[in-house]
Amino acid sequence: MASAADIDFQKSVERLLKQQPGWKKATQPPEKGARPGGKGVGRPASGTAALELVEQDASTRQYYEPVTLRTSDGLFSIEIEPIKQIDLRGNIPFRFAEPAG
Amino acid sequence: MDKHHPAPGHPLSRVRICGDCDHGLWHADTDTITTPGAVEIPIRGVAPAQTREYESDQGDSIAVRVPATPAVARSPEELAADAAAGRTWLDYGILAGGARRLYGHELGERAWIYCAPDGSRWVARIGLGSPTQLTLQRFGEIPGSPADAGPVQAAVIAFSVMPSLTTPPWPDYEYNVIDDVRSDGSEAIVSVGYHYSQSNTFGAGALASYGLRWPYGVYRVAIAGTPPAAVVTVTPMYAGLGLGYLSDTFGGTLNLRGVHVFQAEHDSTALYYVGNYGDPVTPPPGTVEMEYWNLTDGTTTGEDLYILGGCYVADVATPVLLRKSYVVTTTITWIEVEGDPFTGIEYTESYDASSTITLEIGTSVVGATATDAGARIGYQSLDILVETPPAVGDGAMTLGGLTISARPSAGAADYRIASTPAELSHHEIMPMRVGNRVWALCLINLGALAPEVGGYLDAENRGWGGHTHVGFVSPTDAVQTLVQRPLSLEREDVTGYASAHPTTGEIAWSWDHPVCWV
Repeated sequence: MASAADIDFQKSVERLLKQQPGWKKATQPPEKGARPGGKGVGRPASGTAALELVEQDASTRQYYEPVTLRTSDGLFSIEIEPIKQIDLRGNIPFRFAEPAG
Repeated sequence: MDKHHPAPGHPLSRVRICGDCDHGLWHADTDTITTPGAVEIPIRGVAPAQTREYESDQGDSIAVRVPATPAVARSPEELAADAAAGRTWLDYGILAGGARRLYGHELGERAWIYCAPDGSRWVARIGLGSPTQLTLQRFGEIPGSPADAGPVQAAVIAFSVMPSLTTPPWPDYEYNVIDDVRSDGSEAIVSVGYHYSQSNTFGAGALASYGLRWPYGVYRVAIAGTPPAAVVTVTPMYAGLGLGYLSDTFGGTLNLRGVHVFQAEHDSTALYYVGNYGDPVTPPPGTVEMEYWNLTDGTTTGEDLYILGGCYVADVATPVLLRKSYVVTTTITWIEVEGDPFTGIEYTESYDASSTITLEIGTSVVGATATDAGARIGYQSLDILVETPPAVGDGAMTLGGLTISARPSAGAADYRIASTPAELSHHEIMPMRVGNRVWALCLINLGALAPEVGGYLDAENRGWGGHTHVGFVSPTDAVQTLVQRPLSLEREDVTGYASAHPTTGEIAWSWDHPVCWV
């Protein structure tokens, strides 16, 4: 059921179409089916590349405290440091959550 | 994410170190490892195994060093955390026990790791077939290949002397054992022979489950090059039928102290004697010599040297030696037995004897010196039947400076003063392999054993105590001890259990449960 606001909005559109018939096309639903190809018209902001996540310096990687893992038979152990943060180009820190266990 | 990452649940993590970090001294009674930080941790996988009957290999602990492996670098904080958690990171592996435990798995007897010049690692294994062969199989390659499932090379080992040991199955008392392995696996010491106790069916210890080694051969088996083109060579440290006998020396100065007995030429009841003190003997006028009693005194010395096996000292093949030396000094004085006419002499033979037994690995030595001194009263007579005076002697004996016994009767000097080896009274000298780099020297008091197991039949000779340990020796350590053990002939009761640390040589030992550095 249409609300009172919807009815007010519809009446306003009808008044507009009477005064400026050229807007009638805008009130028609989009055609169904594949959209035809076309050229994009958007432009990036000045000085900004497309979103590229590039690490700035591998030597600045940061790690969480070491974790020692054992194989299921207990015979082989691996000490690892989970990754904590890498620094992306543009001084953007990319921080990882500390894994459990 | 990469399922082949060593920690697949932690992608992008940095691997700091990996391997087996459960190291320390394993105790069989608790089946735990005491780490260098004194933390008790369970042993994972198989425990070090005992694989032989007449001597121990459960304490074997052989370092495996892959050349160019970097040293373990840990910060003080990391070391503290490791110690608290019972972790010990090493830059070498350890083959532990007779079955050569590595990473909790057994490589098997007569097997070790060979590091080839190109950096590849191989399981080297000596078989029991005839001819004896050494096989080489790829080890530790990531990723492996189906070709790694079997040996890529088998080389015949040309032992120069290996009687009766080339046709399996071997009887239990014969042995073919990898005594020790160089740290890069490029050489191993192989000993072959048999155990004394099984062949000596009459003497003390005949039924014992321990046995002195009588080696036919102690060999260095060397591997060079990279399989399948490796070259295997054999160099004897000892080979022959002399049961390990390397040398003997015998010396000293013995003097004839004979007694010449003369009889008047025309009166058979007139007897005279002249002692020979080194000067020319001048018969009394009108007499003829009718008897000569040959007595000797002076000093005799001797030394016998045996090889028992071998081990590596700083990666140099070194024989395990048993050295027995002795010095005996006797002096003789005599007096004429009262009587008319002269019928004989009574003499006193004073002796001062010292016999030293040492077990040696390089410059590490354990041993014992037994000393004995006293006098023996002898009697030489022209009578056919004469009652010999009883022997006297203090019989005090010390081992390693500790007085352990005063025998009830010294009788005579308990040493052979001929060219045969010296013997300690009532003792069997028992050097025994306890681990690849730890051997025990035991003095076993045979007098205390029951006759059915080789002890003396007469009670008066069976006196005190059980058997007496003298000590353990490793290339860099020696532990001297003195313990009276139960009157058992089990191998474990003879030596206890011991293990020498693969790099420091520190000896760990226990009387009642196996131990091993893992």
